[in-house]
Amino acid sequence: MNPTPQENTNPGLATLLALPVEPATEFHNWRPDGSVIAVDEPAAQRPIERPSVCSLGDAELRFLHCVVEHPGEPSSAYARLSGLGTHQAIAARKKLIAENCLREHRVNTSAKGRSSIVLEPLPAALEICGVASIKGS
Amino acid sequence: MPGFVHEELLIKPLEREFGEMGARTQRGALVRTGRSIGFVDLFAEIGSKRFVIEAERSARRVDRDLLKAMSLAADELWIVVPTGHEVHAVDRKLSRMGVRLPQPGLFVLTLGQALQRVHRTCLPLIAGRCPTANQQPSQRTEGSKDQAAA
Repeated sequence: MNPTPQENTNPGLATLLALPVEPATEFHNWRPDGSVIAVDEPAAQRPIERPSVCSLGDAELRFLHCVVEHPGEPSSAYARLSGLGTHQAIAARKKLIAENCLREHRVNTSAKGRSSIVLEPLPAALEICGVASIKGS
Repeated sequence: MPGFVHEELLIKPLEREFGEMGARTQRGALVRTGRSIGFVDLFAEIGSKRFVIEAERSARRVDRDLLKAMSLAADELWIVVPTGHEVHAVDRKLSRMGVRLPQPGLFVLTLGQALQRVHRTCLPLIAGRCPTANQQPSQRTEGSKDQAAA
């Protein structure tokens, strides 16, 4: 068999072509111009990771309801609103973040001092509380 | 929730504060920069003074913010960021662009600083628009007596 023109110009190419091909799915949409199309499921189709209400205790549910009713407050405000002690409120916040119900953000809400931890209710939290959208939005 | 930090935490309190100060506010005001069309997060106008407020979570789009503010002939551009960390990042980016702070009309602020600045900036403007607004009640009475006498 006569060698192809490519093999003539590059003798090492035949060795490379003989290697097994492992398709990399993350580069399916790669383009030579440098732009990449992100492959993502539409938000509506993507399943939301929901914790079951049973996995949350009474304190956590109270804390969660307060966040959904008053979103965007510093985290210390929710301890007061939900009537929990500081340590209980911190534990509830950490559990709810781990369960994908809440997301925390650091924002300097006052001109001086440390930044506050501000809590954002996620779709799972809205579903647990039976609210269509967060208050005021 | 998409845009929670941007819309709910940074822009909404500033819009409310400007509104309480009697400013005319507009969220997502249209702006044309060259051939492209964009929006500013918040445009506030009190008297003849125009403010452009852009909420940012990083220094990436600071150059566009400057262009947009210039296109709207704003007197002041406020770049509002969540924490002091981003303030420094924006400051560094501006320095790389050859813009050294402090610069008249350009402010990089955290939310708390921006809320404080609304009061500091708007109160003199309100006072200027309504000369009796910042006088004590006793002064007003005296003034009105003088006016009546005249």
